Parts: sequence; structure tokens; C-alpha cells
Amino acid sequence: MPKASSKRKRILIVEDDVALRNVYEMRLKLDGYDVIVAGDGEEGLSIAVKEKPDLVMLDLMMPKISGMDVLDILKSTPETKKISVIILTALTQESVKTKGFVFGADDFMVKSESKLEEIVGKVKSLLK
Amino acid sequence: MDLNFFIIVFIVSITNLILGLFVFFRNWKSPANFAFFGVALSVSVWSISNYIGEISLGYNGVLFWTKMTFFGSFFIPAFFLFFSLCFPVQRYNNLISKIFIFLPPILLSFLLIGNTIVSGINSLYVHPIEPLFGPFYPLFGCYFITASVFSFIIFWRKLKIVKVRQRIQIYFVLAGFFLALILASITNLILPAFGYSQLGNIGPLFTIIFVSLTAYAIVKHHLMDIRFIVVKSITYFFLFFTIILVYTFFIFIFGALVFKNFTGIEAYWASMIVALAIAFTIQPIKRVFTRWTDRIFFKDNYNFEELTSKLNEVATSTIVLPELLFKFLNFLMEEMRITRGALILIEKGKIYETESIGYKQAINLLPKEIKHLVNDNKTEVFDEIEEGDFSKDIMRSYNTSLILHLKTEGEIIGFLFLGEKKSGDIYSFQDIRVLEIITDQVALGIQNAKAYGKTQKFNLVLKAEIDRATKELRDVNDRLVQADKSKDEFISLASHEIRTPIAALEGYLSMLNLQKVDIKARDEIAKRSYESVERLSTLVKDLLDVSRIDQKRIKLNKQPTRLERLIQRAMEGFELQTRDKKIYIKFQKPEKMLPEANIDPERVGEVFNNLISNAIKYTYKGGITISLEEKDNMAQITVSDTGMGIPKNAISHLFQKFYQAETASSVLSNERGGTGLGLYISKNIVEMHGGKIWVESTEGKGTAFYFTLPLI
Repeated sequence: MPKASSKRKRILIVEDDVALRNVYEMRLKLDGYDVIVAGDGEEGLSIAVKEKPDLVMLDLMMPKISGMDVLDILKSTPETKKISVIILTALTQESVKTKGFVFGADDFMVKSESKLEEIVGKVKSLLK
Repeated sequence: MDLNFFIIVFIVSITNLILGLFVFFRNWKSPANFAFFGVALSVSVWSISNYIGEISLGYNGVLFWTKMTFFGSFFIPAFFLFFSLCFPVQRYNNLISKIFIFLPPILLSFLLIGNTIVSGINSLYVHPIEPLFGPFYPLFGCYFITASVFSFIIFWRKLKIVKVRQRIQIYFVLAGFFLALILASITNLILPAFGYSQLGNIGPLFTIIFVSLTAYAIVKHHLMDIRFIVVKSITYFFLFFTIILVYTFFIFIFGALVFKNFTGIEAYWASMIVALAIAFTIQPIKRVFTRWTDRIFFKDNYNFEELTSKLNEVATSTIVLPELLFKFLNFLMEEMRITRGALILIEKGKIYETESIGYKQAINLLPKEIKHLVNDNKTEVFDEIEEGDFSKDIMRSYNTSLILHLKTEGEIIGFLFLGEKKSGDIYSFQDIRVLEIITDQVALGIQNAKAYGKTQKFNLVLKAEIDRATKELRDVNDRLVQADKSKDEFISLASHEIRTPIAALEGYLSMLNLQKVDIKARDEIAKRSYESVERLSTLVKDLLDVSRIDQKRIKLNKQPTRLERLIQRAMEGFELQTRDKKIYIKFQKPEKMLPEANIDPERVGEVFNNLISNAIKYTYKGGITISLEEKDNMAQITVSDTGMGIPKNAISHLFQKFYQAETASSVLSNERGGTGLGLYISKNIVEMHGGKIWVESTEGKGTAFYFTLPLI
């Protein structure tokens, strides 16, 4: 069960849809993760740089800065390079997926095709 | 009596009678012709009676024919007076004037039966016969003078009111009259006074001058252009004069100088040479004289060959129909010196195109007039057409002297209307022949231009039609593409919008199966699930509204509604939310209660809900103020907040489908997740009510939405 708060893994959810964000947050908290949320790319990026979470769940279609740009910046900055990133998007195109991996995403999931438990499973395996 | 007298009387009677009958039968309906016939007949009666009286034997016979002479002479002034009323235009011709004219000669004729005018004969053996006058004889003299004076006064007054051609006709009549009068005066009055009474017998001959000139004036015909006749006579006079002179001169030369004895064979040779010389020179000499006389008398005349070649130039100068018509007309009128002209083109019995120069009124031929002219199918000369003919009426109403038909391949394509010549002359036979030839050429040119114009017009119409059809197709295509595009967008956005709350709902429900979920978490899940379902149902409702709006299927259920109450009810629904967010919501009521609004309360309620929930969504401190006021007979509602405001570039897109301002997304706005349809629906609802909706916003300070609704 949850360890000391300092040892708890931190997850940043960058997602512009409130309902989805809430679901992910609640579910991950149930598993004892420390969860922070951001509503758009800009917010997500600043929190990621400041808080240096262990993992970022990143939506792609977002206002201000797109998820892909956030990914690019995170993976090209030495301080944040090690953060695991799961792309969680509504976009199903292969080209988007390929681009995501090229930019250094650790995993790529399509929202409508992924059950909540599958997502949680991916997060867990990446944080082991 | 001598034979000469008989011959003269015979000639006078027959000539006058024939002329009278000729004029009479030419148009016996015309009063002028009838009056003229009366004059001619009276003159004949007078003349014949005079002669028979002279050759009669026995007192009673001589007396009878003498009285007949008087009888004839009573009616000469009467018919002449009547003629003056009828010719060349009718004036004062009514029953009263007829009584005044014909009653005196009839009364005189009755008196003549008795012995009050002529009582007897002086002597049977004195010639000419000398009648004995009765007491009433002066009445005849008075009547004769009065009638003559009246005739002249009438003609004189007519001279001032009639047209050029008619004035010339009057001149002819008066000239004939005076000429006859003067000549007769010389032979029968002046010469006998000096003792030469032998010429008295030829007096009646001069009536022929009067009668024939008058006859000519009446039937004045383009075949007899008087000037033309005069000119030709002069030409031939000079010609013969010259030939005789030359011939005599040569004979003299030959006779007196070349041959001493100008007889026998030499004379024949000389005559032959001169005859040959004359035969060869007569044509050139004639041409010279013709040219001279033409130059003097036909100064304004045209040269036919020149005319036709110039016409060709005009015909080939342009192919544009209106321009061509104008040029043709202008050319004809300039060259032939005509006062007015009009070209009227017809097609299928209706006017196709017209052009006129000099006409004061437009020549809008009626269909029946066109039909008549087409059926007549001949050159119409005003002076030649009899009174009562429809052609004459047409020409009179359009003030036209000549109508020529434009024909191509036997089909009448129009008419050429011409006014009188500038010189006042009538159109001669030659003029008309020339004009007929010219109109054939003109018709051909017009037909070409018409065909060209039609092709041109057809091309233009076709081009316009194609352009229009192409544009229509393009527009339809654009609309379809646009519609298709927006439909695709709508579907993809709608499915995305629907999928997200479903995914959330799915997530919550799947969490219920987890062991670690305690009661408290379950409550949370239930609450969140409910929110998602709520959001989903709002979304579906909005999507249905949008589709109804887009297909114009929304029907308003209007009823008188108190806006104050509607606003308050809407606010109540948001009390919990505002309390949670620690912001205020207040309603600034108008000072005076507004009249009821004529609206669909349910739909307008949606507008309030949309605007208030938007305001709450983007407001974190301060609050929301709703106000209501009356402006220009409309209710104006304002929903203002102290929220984050809307960026300028977003304002114009605000009322579009699925639009959500970018700044609207922030983790701070935990409630975000609208459908992006609320404002679009609100705008449409307000506009369906005949109102307007607009927004004012300052970023960081707040936003105010305004809209208006109709009051009762």
C-alpha cells in the first residue's frame, strides 16, 4: 500500500477534458500515486519542469501548446529527459503514433480504444 | 354662223365636259370633285346654249336658248363658290352655306321662266344675239359679283391655313381663273371697244384654260411634275432653236459662199451634209442643254448613280442595326432633301425596331395599321390615295407623304415613312422609282444587320446563360462541399464530444469493480458518473437543437411572459454553483415593471441558462449581474460577469458552432467542458424572436452579453 509520501511516484496528467482528467486522477490515486493535473499544454509543461514527475500522461489535442510540442520539449531537455511519457490521445492515425515515438514517447494509447484498467496497467509497468 | 365659231364651241364644250366627267369619276364621292364637275357642266351648258341660240331660227327657239345661256351662267358662280368651300380642304361646307349658295341660282332660274330677267330678243338678224333685259336682270349681276368675290375671299383665307402643296393647288385655280378672265376681257371687252369684235367668238375658248388648270390642280399627280414638263419644254425649245439656227447658217454658207448657183445637185449635197451634221450633233447639244437647264431648275436634285454608290458605302459602313437605320435615314434625307423620315422594321406583325428623324411624334404603328400596309403591299403616295382609304388615314395621322415597303425575298420587313420634300414639291414619278430601288438596297442591308444582330444577341444570351448556369453549378457545388465539410466536421466533433463523457463514465463504472474502492470513493464515483451522464444528456439535447436550427425545424411557442420572473427562475438553478464558487449572482430589476414579452419562455429560458452558466464557468471572483431594461420598445437583457474576459480574436467566432475560446481551458476552471454549442443555439433563439445578441468584453476584467427580445 502507499509508502512514505516522498517515495510515492508522481504522475502528471495533462488533459483538457475535465471529466476524463478526473477519472484518471481518481483511479490513479486509488493505487496510491501522487497525482497532479494540468488543463493545457502550457500548464502541463511548466508543472512538469517544476515538479519533475515520474510520469506524464499527455493528451495531444490541447489548447495553447500541443501535446506533441510538450513531448518534444520534455524529451529534449536534459532535466526532464528521464520522465516517462504516455501519449493518451483521441487521434488514431499511425503517423501521429510514429511521430510520438520519434519524439521519445514511452507509450502511445488511443483513448477510445483503451479501457481505464489498460491505461493503469501501462502506467504501472512504466513506473516499476 | 361661221365654222370657226362652231369648232370653238365644240372644242370648249367637249373639253370642259370631258375634264368635268374625268374629275367627277375619279372620285365622285369628293365634294370638291363634284363642285368642279358642276362648274364644268355649267360652262358647257352656257357655251352650247350660246351657240345653238346663234344658229336657231325662229323667235321662240332663239329666246329659249338665250334663256338656257343664262341658266348655265347662273350656276357657274354657284358651283365655283361651292368649289371654293370644298377645295383643297373643306371649310364652311354645311347645309346653310349650301342653301345660301344654291338658293339664288334656283330662284333666278324660276324667274327666268317668266320674263323678269330676259324679256325678249332685240332682233333675230343681229349676231351675236342681243337679249332684252327684264327688271330683275340686275339681281343676276349682283349674284355673279357677290359669289365671285366670296369665292376669292375664301380661297384667299385658305391660302394662309393650308399646306404647301394645297397652296400650289389654289394658285393653279386662281391662275386659271384670272388668265381666262384677262384673255376673255381682251377679246370680248377691250378689243370690241376698239371695233374688233370678230375675236369675240373665241372668248369661250379661254374657259378651257381655267377648267383644265383647275382639273390639274385637283388631280395633281406625280406623273405630271409641272416643273419637269416646263424644263423639258425649255430644253427642247432651245434645242430646236439652235438646230434651226445652225441649219440656216450652214445653208447660207453653202448657198452664198461655196456654190454660186445653189440649185440642183449641189443643194442636195449641202442639205445631206448639214442633215448628217445635225444627226451627229443633236445628242451632245441636247445633253449640254439638259445639263444647263438642270443646273438652273433642279439645283437641289440628286444624281441617281451617285446616290446608289453612296448608299452602298453607307450600307457597308456598319453592321450594327440601330446605327445602320440612322445612317440610311440621314443619308436619304440629306440627299433627297426630305423633311422627315422614319424606318419602321416589323416582325410577325409587330414593330421590331424603329428609327426616325424629324418626326415630332413616335411612329408606333398599331398592329391593324401594320396589317393593312402589309396587305396593301404597294408604295403609298398620300396625294394619290382617295379619301376614306385607311392608308390615307394612317398617313395623315403620322403626317407622312410617302410610304415605301422594305422587302427582301418578297417578304415585307418594314416601311420607310417620308414627310414632304423640303422644297414643297411633290414626289415625282422619278423620285418614287429611285426611292423604290433604294429601299430594296436598304432592305437588304437591314436584313443583314438584323441577322448579324440576332446572332450577336443570341451569342450574348447564350454566353450569359452559360455563365449563369456555370455560376449556379459552382455555387451549388460550393454549398454542397461546404455543407458536406461542415457535416463531416459536425459529426467528428459531435462524436468526439460524446465519446469523452462516455469514456469518463466507462472509467468510473469500471472502478466500481475494484476491491480498494471504499464507500466514500463509491459516493464520489456515483456523483461524478451522474455529472458525466448529465453532461452527456445536455450535449445530446444541444446537438438536437443545433440540427433543428440548421434545418430550420424549430417552432417557437410564443406566449406573453414576464421576463422578471423568467430571469429569477433561471437564477435559482445556479444558486448552488455560485455558492460553491463563492461568487455572487444578482438581478438588477428595472425601476418600472416592463410589459410582458412575446416569447417562447422555454427557449428563452435556455438562453438565460447558457449565458449564466458560461458566466459562472469563467468567473472566479466577484460575480454575475443580470439586468433588464426597456430600449426602443424592446427588452434588453444584460448578463455581465467579472470573469477572465474573452480575447479580441475570439469574439468574432464566439457564436459559431463548437467554438470554445482557448483561454477557457485552464485547470483552474474545473467545470470546463461545455459543448461549444450554447452560444450558437442562444444566438439563433434570440434571432428567431426578432432580437439581437452581442458581446462586450475586456480581457481580465469581465464580459457582458446583451440581447434583446420583443415586448408586447
